[in-house]
Amino acid sequence: MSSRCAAVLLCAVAILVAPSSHVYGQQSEATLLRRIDSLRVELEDATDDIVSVMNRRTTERADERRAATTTFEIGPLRVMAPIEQADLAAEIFESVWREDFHAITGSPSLDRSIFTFEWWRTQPAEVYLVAMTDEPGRVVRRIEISRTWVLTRDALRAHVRDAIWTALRDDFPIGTQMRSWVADTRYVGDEDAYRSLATIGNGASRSCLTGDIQGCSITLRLSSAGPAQLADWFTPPQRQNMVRRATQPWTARVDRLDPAAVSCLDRDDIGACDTVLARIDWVEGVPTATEVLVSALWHAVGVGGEGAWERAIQDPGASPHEVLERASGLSTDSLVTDWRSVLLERRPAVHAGLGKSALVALFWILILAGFAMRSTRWRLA
Amino acid sequence: MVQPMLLVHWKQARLLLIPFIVAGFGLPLLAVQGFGGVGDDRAVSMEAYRFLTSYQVWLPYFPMLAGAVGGVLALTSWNWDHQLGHVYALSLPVARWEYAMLKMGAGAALVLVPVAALWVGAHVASASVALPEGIRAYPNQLAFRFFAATMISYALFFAMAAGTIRTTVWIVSTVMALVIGGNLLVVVLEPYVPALDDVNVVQTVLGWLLRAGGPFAVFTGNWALIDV
Repeated sequence: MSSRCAAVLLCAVAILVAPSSHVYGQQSEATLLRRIDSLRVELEDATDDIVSVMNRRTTERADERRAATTTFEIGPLRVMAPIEQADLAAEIFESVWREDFHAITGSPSLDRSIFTFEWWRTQPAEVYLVAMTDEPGRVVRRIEISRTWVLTRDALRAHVRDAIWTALRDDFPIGTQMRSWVADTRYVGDEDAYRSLATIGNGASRSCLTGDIQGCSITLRLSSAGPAQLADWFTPPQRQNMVRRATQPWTARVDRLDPAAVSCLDRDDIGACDTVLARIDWVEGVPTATEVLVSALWHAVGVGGEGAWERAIQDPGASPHEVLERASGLSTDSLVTDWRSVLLERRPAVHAGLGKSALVALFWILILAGFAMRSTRWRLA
Repeated sequence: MVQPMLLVHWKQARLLLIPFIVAGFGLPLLAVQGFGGVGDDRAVSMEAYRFLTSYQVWLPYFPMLAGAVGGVLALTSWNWDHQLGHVYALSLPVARWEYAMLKMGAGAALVLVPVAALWVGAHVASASVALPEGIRAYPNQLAFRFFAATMISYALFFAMAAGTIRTTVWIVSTVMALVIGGNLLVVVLEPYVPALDDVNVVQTVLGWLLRAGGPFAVFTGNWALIDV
């Protein structure tokens, strides 16, 4: 493609769109058609030239990208990164895997994933394009992040954690009970889980915090409970919401036109809400936080040790209750008791480091006071 | 010697301090507004999550208030010295470092006034809401952090006000130039100095100033009055 092609294109366009003006008006129709036909060939040639040049450039760019990219493995993770960032990527992935996921084995989702990594500053190298062409069949999970938005390595680690958890989540097929149990959460640390548990804000979760294991089981939606606890643990608006959720089309646990449901939802009759909830396994609809549920799963996998993840995912149709027992090798009650005590131990220290901050502040105050005492203004005065 | 210093500074700053005292007392109350009263059943039933998320909105105002209180107290402490050409200071039989220290101490004592207002306000605010199980109030920690941040701000402005305007302009200009033009300089020099490829001046400077060990780290910590 060159100036020749451009000229031909221009001519063709000019001829095709020009009105039958005084320039061509005097030529015969046959002459014009001949000219147009001959230009059409030139036009097609020029178009082919353009396409081939574009293809060549794309190939060259892809080759450049490929040459600048390297792939390596950390445990079951396959990671692709620009060569100059390979060490950084290896360090980050290695530390995240060692700290948070080392107990995971036999994850089909991880086996079919490739993680593309780049912490770019001015322009991304678009590593994912190489992964898409060179690793067909693998799910590309991108951690290609600008340094403008992610400033620290700790923040970068959090993104890597999320990406690995997102891949692991896919071991529970969409539509299964476990998949809706873990939902679309990000990676959940113990402190996040504690915060979520403390902020759910219903009687069951509060009972869990104060030591009632049944409250914990209800919060985790793991055990059934009678209607008596409904009024103790859930306020009328919360019970009404539980009925509302049960009538949603995707749960379809209660017919929206059921007289009791109508009375509950349309006439705020809380007695009718309790009637509806007494008919169904209301624990399934308990308001809770997904972070808390995921934390229980992680705990079960951690307690279960080697092969726990494989056991957790071996039956896609299993209920959360079965999955947790199978993964941990413990009964639900033991697991929940253990999970609660671990969670309480990990309560975030909200003002941790305040004393150290105060000492640092004192240090700087003394330095600044020293500057003030050595000021030049007096000498000038 | 401290008493006259304190008295003079108080006279200079008292009118300006009033809004800060009001703000210090009122800010924690504003932050928990609408969370229900003691013994109110609705408070128990409400989603505790709201506590934390609603409070987040008010978080930036606490360090801002600390910065403003420190700045105003520091500037008022030197105001009358500058106006009178330091004649009074030079007439005193004390060394200049001793004079500056006394003056700083007097200002630090005045810092306690808005800090006390915030401490009382934080306690009143904490007591005015029924916190669900698992959620706690941290009025003492908040007041302590406010005190530390106010003192840092006070010391910084005090040191700058103690110097000449030229020195202050130099210091402020250098920091601003570093923050604004630092990365531009790196981009220009990068082709000639490959080691600069991985350098982000703004990020480095801000990180040094705001993270653990930096002078302003206390401003970026957790300012939670209510948390888990």
